[in-house]
Amino acid sequence: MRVAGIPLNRPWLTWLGLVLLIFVQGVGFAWVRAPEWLGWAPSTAGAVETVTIFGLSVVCLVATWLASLPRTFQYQDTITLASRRPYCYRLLVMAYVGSAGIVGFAGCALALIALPWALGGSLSGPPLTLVLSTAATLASALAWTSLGIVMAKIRPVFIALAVAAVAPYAWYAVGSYLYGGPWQSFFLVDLRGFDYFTPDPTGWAARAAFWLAIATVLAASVLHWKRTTTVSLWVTSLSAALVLLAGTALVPTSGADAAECLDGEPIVCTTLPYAFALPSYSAAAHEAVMALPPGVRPTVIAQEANVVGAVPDGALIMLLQPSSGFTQPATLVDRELFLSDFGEKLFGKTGCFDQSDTEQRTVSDALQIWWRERFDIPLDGSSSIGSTPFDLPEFEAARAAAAEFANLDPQVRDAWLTEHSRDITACRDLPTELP
Amino acid sequence: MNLFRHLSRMHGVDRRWFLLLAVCWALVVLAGWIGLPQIDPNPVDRTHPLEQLSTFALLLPVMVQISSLTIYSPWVEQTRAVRLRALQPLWLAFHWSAGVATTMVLSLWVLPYGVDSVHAAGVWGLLFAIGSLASSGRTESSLRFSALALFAVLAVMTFPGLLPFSANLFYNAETTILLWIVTAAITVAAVVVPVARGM
Repeated sequence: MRVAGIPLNRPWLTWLGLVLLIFVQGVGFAWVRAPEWLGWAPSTAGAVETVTIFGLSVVCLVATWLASLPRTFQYQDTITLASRRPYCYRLLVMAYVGSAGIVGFAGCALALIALPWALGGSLSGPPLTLVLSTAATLASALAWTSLGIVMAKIRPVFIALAVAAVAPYAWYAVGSYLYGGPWQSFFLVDLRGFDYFTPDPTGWAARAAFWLAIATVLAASVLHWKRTTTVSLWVTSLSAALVLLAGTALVPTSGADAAECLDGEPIVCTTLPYAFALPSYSAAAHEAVMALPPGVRPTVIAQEANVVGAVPDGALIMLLQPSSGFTQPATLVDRELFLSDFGEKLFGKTGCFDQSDTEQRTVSDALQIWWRERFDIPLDGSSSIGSTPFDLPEFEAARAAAAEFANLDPQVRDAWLTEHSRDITACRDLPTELP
Repeated sequence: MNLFRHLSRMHGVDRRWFLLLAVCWALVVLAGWIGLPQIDPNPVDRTHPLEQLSTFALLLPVMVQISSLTIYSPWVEQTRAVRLRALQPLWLAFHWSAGVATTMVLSLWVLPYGVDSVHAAGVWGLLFAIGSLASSGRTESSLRFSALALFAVLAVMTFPGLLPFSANLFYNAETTILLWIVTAAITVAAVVVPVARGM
């Protein structure tokens, strides 16, 4: 059965499958990097383009596949003899794959925009970048559909398919390789530096126009629309010039460095691009401070020093970035990672005492081991980036001291921590032994 | 030698095929100078020699070599079917080793410094094994399916953070032993499956 001239058994079902594939891979790949963009519009705009890293390969591959079918199955002659013009088949492929690409990528963009609300938060930041990045993404989907149809001319067909799969990714990789130079503005953007600085909207708009013009040139040339080809070549040339002129300039995002705080015990503060993390940041921080006696509890935990607003006198401030996986700062907070970092920050006291002092070091290590065991955090340091692996033999003494400390009556333990609260919370020497 | 010539002709290996293969390898070498966005998420400052476009571009020579596993001249198969078909695993082994050797030579002398040749050869071997397993139907359609399968595997391995890096056989140089075990297992499957299916 053939519907709309596409020689597939179930063309509409295949079309839907293609849309779903583009959507699922896009949202899946973007979700992997969610701590970098969730809830902040300029970073989400970068994420919208990230969905094209392999999505464009899918679009290009399918376009090449379908466009090569007549020659592969030897019915090109039949198409030539048909009442419609021979290149109408290519137009059908373009409409079929291009529309799937547009619907799939638009769905991805909408999903990424809607995701913060679905997770109980909201999207902040200037929305213009989102519109422009979505436009650039959709235009590039059309362009790579046309390129896929052009690639179908490569013989043998399996090489055309391999080239169609590799080419869009190679384009992305070359763009990353050229990062910073003016040529990079032709390529995909990703999430780097979009928290406080955003690409100039002119450049983004020019890139969308450039990709649209490329799509038109290729489509018009494979369809033998000569006048349209000529006109769109002029438009391509102009938009390419505009892309180069606009370059890769990053402009400061207004209001991005404003502080956002969430009251509670403790108060937690981040900058606006990471404000989405506040609820999970607050919950993890609350869990951490509640495990300590009042004298040792930080009253404010902040992402960085300049977001700490007017704090009450004597408030205990801890600077600890919200983090998730290898992302720091992040828009999501990994509880275990946060608690591990909290223990290291509070008891590790890097640079505050003489590290050659074995007794103080043992106390510091023992307190960190006690802290990790209290929250069932692995001692091997696997839960946090660069944290000390306390399961090594050299920490045997510290592990023994930690076990003794854990076995103490909680009141005795809290009393000792309170007694030494200044030594623990300020940057100075630690006590030389545990109770 | 005569037998090798017969096998080559039967599988459509001619001068144009060799030219195509050479062009594809040249593209792989050129792609070796283009670094990929960091795949190893560990922020520790170290070089990532394996993270280069040539790994992704390996898809091209792999597909060319896999194409030669397909029997292009059915009449040859009919006339000398039994003998030549029995040699199919040998033909596959020949291509596998030729590709592994080429990758090792290129990574030793041509690709940027620091690429572990044993690991790179393992990546090639694994891609070839997956591709030949996916195309074990030995038809034009199975060849296309194999291009899709290889692209899917490469995409999953190449996207930063999608797999735990400790399980990333392509770009983590510390997984060389595991990579070769997986490569060996899939290569054996690629030899056994077509034989079991009577191809």
